[in-house]
Amino acid sequence: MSMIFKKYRFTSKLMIAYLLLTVIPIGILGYISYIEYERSVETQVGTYIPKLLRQSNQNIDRQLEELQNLPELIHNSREMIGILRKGSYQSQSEMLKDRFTIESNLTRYYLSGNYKGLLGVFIASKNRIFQSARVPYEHFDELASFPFDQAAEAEREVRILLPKSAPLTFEGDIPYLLFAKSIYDSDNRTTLGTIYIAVDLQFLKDALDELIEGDSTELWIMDENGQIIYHPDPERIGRRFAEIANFPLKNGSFEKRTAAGGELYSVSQSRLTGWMLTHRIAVEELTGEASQVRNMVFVVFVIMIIVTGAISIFLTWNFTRPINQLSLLMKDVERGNFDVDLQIRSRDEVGMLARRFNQMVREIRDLIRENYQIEIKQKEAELYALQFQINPHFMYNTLETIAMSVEEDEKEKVVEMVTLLGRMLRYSLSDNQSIVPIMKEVQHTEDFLRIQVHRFEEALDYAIHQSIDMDAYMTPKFILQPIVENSIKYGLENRQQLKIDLTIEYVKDYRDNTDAIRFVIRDNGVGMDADRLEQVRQTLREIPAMTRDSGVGLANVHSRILLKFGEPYGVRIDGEEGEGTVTTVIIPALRRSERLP
Amino acid sequence: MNTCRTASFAVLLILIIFVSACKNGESYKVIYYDPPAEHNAIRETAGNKLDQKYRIALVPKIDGIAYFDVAKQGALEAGKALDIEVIYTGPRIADAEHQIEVVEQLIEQNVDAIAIAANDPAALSDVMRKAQQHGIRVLTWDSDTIPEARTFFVNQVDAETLGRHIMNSLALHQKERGSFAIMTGSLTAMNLNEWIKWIKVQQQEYYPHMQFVDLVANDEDPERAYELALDLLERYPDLGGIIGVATISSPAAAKAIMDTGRANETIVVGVSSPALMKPYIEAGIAPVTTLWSPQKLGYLTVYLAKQLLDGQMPFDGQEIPNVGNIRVRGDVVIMGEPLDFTKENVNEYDF
Repeated sequence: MSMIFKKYRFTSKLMIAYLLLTVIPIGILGYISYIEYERSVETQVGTYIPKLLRQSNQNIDRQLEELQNLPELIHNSREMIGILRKGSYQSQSEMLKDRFTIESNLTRYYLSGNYKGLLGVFIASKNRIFQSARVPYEHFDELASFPFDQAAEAEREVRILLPKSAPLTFEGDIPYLLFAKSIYDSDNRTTLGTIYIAVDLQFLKDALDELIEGDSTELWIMDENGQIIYHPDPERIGRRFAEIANFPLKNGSFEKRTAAGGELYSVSQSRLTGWMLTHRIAVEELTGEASQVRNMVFVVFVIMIIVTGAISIFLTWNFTRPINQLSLLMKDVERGNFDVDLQIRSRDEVGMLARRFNQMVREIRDLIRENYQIEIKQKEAELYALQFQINPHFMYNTLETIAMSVEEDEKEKVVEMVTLLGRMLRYSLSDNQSIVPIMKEVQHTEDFLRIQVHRFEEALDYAIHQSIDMDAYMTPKFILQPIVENSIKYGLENRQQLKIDLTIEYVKDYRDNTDAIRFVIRDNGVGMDADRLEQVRQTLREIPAMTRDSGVGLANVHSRILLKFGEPYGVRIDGEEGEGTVTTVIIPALRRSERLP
Repeated sequence: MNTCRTASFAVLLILIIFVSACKNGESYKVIYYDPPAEHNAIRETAGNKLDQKYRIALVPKIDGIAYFDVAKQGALEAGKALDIEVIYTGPRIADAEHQIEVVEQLIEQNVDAIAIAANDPAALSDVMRKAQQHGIRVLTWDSDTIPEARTFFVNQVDAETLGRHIMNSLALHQKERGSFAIMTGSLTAMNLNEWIKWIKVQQQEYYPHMQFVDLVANDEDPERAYELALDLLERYPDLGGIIGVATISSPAAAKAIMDTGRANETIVVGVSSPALMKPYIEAGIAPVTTLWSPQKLGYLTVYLAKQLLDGQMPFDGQEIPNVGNIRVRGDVVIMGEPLDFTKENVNEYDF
């Protein structure tokens, strides 16, 4: 994930972050509120409908109870019971008279009564059939021999035959409930026969009609096995509703979820009959308002996405614009244009960044300028150094010495001095490299000393001590000879005898793991008093403009080393009055192969 | 480009969350459960039933006469229908002492309930209380005792209704004139005495031209009844009618009338069963005989005894399966209206 994220630009990341931070909470909030709303509607309806159903069921139960009591009416007629008690007849006319009596009684008791839904009343008794029907019918004979539930028969309870389960049919195929009850003669403790009362299902329709509203509402009655007793669609009466096996309860409501959508079932079971009054409605219709809410939430959601998207784009652009500007300016600086200014004056982090950037560019600019000036100073110093190469005093003195030697006819001495002078000149002139092997610089210094020894004879003596391979390390030109020259100049002013020792040493870890080379020039001259020493040191510290004054040669060497290598390299001077002077020159150890920084 | 793709990806993700509300497959989620309230109560009583069969004893006034034999049939039918053990046991002689013995035995057997048709309202009360002290529910049927001795009385008919009705029947067929005698089963049986009381009241209120001449008791003994009837006929030569109270009285009186050839002079009305009275009804000696269904009474008594053991008292208008609606007056249950047997319908009944 983080890998994927790294690929994107900051702008994209910010935008995604903004979007996710707004879209996800809004989305979740909208979703949850919609679901909750839907659920609450569902719960409300799911609580309300079962109660309605229970009431309807109670109404239906009352009517059924009334209907169940209908067979008892027959016991109110002693005439009918008397006839039913009879088993055999002596004549046809007697039997037909009885039949007339019973059937007219049935009509009077039942069909003419208040029971509008009665289709017909039938009595099967001792191989006799009595009937009184309002609607023409067929197949009652089959019904009379229809095998009934034996247990119910024994209990002498009212049996209710569900629609389309009995062979009896009425004209027009009217669906009916058939109440059957054996007629029990409680005085004689015998069964006289069975009475059948067929009732139109209309009473169920009347009871349920008020509950049906909306097209997708379905309301029907079935028994516990799913046999449909009443359904607004007559086709379905008598069929089986197999799904009842899956119903999680018999009183209450539940939602059935399928791929096609949810259906809210409300069921109520009759206490009297165990029949299930079942109400089915599509959740979609139920939560029609909820879907509206959902759509509205969705529209708001989309608008919010657009708005927050716009805001995020604006914020992101606002945020990243200075950064892009910065990167463009950096490119400018990279190309060498230091005269830039990031025009951001805000006080936030980006403003701070801009200020720092401006400051940094300014500092770089100053640093470059400074380095440039050092370079100029160095060149100046080197120019002066060149002047040392052809010191007119030295030339004059040497030539004078040579002249004196010629006069005294010291040929060898002359030859040597001319040779030395020639080598010195060549060192000064030919070699224009400012860095040379130490060997050459030391050679040059020794040449100078030899010439001076020839000039001052016994008054001057020198020695060179070295502990390194002088050919392997490099040094700037003309750093030793001016110091030696200085020593001779001041040493011989007040002394008859001067000794100069030049020591070359290797210093390990002089600074920051960098090795150094130390040149120590020690003389046994009068030395400097404290004031003088301090004066010289002051001169070294100030790196003065190049002059050729006394002590200034020393300063020139010091400033050249300092300019080239920086602190703490350079010249240090020590000594006390009467004890001679020790001048130390320290430069970094530069191997021959190495180039200057 | 990248931004675009990422943003659309995010939107897609949200949409997926939205759409995922519609799950696949079929599932049922209960939203509201409306518990049916009364089912538990039914189960409890059903549980009681399983414990042990109730043992209910039905004690007649006397063993071996047709009326109580038929009542026994009804009681046994109820025992079968209700799945209880019915013990039918009665005295060989219709008096209190013999009945006390029977009840004592039943107490020893530790039956659950005793229903007794008492020969004497007071004499039996002690032993009935004793039974109650043994935790036996005691009720009376056919003939009551004093109320303190039993929980309730299962009465076949309302005594006043029956008494007045019998008097009316007699008056109708005697054209409200002449004399009549009453033959009862026992002078101590409470139900018989009640009926006789109301017969007399009806006569005094409506039939001043009729004379009540004598009351005799036959102790539920058919032979003695016959002798008493002959005696009455002899003693009152112009006797217009005999009212038979208790089922053996009427046939014995009718037989005596037949045997003495006084069929056209003296009639018999009263309480008896159609089976016993059929020849006399057809012969015209007994124009009408009144009774109820003793089977039904036996059945009802056992049914109510069982219901009492289940902890429920009978109530007015209660519908008893295979019996009908009963009436309750105080602690007396009235089974129904009396039946009249005449030439026309005597064949309809088989008891």
